[in-house]
Amino acid sequence: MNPFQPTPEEQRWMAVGSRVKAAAGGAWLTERVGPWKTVTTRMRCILFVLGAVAAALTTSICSLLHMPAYMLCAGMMLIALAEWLVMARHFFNAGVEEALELAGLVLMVIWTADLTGYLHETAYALLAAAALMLAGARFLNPLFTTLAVLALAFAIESAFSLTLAGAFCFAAGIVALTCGAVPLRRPAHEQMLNFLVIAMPLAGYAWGADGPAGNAAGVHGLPVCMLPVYGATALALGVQRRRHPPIVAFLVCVGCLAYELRNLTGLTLQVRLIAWGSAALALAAAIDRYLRTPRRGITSLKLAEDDESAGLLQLVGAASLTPPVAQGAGSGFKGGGGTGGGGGASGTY
Amino acid sequence: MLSLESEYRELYTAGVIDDAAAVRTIAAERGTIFSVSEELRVSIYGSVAAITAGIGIYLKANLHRIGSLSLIIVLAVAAAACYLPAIRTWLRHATRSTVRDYLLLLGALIFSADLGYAESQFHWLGSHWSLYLLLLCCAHAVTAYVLDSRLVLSVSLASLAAWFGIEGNVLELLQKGNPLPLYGMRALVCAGAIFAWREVHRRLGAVRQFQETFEHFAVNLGFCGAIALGLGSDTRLTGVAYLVALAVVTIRHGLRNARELFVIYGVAYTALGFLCLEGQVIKGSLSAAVAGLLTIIGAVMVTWHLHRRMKGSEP
Repeated sequence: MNPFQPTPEEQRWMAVGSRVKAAAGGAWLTERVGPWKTVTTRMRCILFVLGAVAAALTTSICSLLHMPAYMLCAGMMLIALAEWLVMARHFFNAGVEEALELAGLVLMVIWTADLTGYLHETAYALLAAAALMLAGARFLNPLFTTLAVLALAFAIESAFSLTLAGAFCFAAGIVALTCGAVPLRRPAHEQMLNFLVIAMPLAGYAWGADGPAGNAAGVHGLPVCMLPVYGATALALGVQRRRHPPIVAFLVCVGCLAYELRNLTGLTLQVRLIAWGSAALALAAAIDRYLRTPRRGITSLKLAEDDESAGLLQLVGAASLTPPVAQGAGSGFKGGGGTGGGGGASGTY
Repeated sequence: MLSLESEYRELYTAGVIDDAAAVRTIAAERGTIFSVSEELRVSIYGSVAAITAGIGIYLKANLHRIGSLSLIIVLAVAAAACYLPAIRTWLRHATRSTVRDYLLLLGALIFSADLGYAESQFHWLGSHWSLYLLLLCCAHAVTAYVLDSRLVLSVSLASLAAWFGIEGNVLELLQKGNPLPLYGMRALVCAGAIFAWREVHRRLGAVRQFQETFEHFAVNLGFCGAIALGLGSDTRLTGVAYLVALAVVTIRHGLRNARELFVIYGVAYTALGFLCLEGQVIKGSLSAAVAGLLTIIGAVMVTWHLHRRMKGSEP
């Protein structure tokens, strides 16, 4: 057993355990997972948020107590606590220890920057990237490694140009797409690549579209060149490898490209939304219909029941699309404060 | 590329998973069967959101240019066209596809916009204009029950919440001068109404998924209401009492039915409520920060304990 982090075998069994929900083989699986204690993704998210709030409050307490070098003190305390949770209590991907360690490292980066007096933002970004990469490698956390690459892109932007930072993001995404073909032992390594595959075209677009526009319609060269290439490659690889993240990356590229080319047609916003929305709906309906009979194993049918989170997301999505309340003009009610009679609804079209 | 096929084979050999589960998981690992239903669902949702937003902007921009009646008729026809595929599927007693599900949702949303627009133009309900929200809630509820659609049910519940004066704009709510306790009371009453509806639904033995939809809406509204009530100086104690009572009920429900989300609601909302309360009540930044830290440590410990308990009680 490695006290530092789970071995690849232990982590593989943890991944299997989370997928089969340890239904029948609880004890059998526990033996293979070793002493490591993990939680579901939902719990991990909530514990991460709680850990982050705890870290912020610890820092404010240290500050309010006027501790000398309070950021360093708070940072060291948080890192020590996170390491204790891992080494002594065997927490892994439980959220709280990840938040504490990340906050500790960030505080130490800020303290180092304060110590040196003035730190150029490139150096600042490089330090942050190093801290995030360290935390990502320590906890095998894909979010941290992705943030590290983004911090690196920020360093490139501040040292060189926006376009170069955008190109770097696209290049990082392509490297991640390529590495996806390599056989991997750890599930976390695949997740790290998946995060990069999806986030990098979005970041590349954000940086690329921030630069000077190439023409009057406000179209930028780098995104318009890279998004179709990246999207098409991702779609082809996703279908070939039967993996979801590259297909999601394709959808991201389509969205970004549609936004980038929004001014080319000269149509009004509402017409564009209705026309393109209808076109996308028709295309999705056609694909859904075509794939209802599996084609080379690919199908539009659901293979498993939705879990509760997915169901909840759908409901929230549907409720959030509900049109705003239309108040009858001249009806005598005060809008905005909900002071009307009846249900007290308020608002205007 | 990662493959967990060898682990699944071992699970099968050890008898932990049955034949069907083994075939399904190994096929998924090898990619011999691959579902793109989630990607399609996201695309369809994006399309529906774009169309709804487009219609909303169009209505706002052309209020005075287009004849009210013709616009209302066009929207009604569009809504009916969206309802049609779902009605046809229902008449054939077949299972509705994801596309038809979302088309039905689009129809319901267009119908909502249409009725709202009609009311704002013709004032059919006069000073009781907000009743159109209740009418919408009933119409969507009937559609949801007849066509068995959770998505339309959630639109119905959103209309009900709007009738009670609860809309999703939290930033607007937190603006100075907005009566938070009043909002809290409305949210609690609305949560109570949804819970009562859920009870009737349960006693009638209707669709199980609808029950979950009611529960999610009622719990979230209830907690928001209790926190808002707790932020008012006169209603603080009532708010705390509601918050604690709701937390106990929600966590017990989550533990009893192995529904982790409800345990999370119970802990997260209570921690948030107490943090807000401590920020208001405790004088002195240091004391408030220490109290906040203790609250968070408590929340982490309770979450961890409840998680272990749920894991231990898994079948």
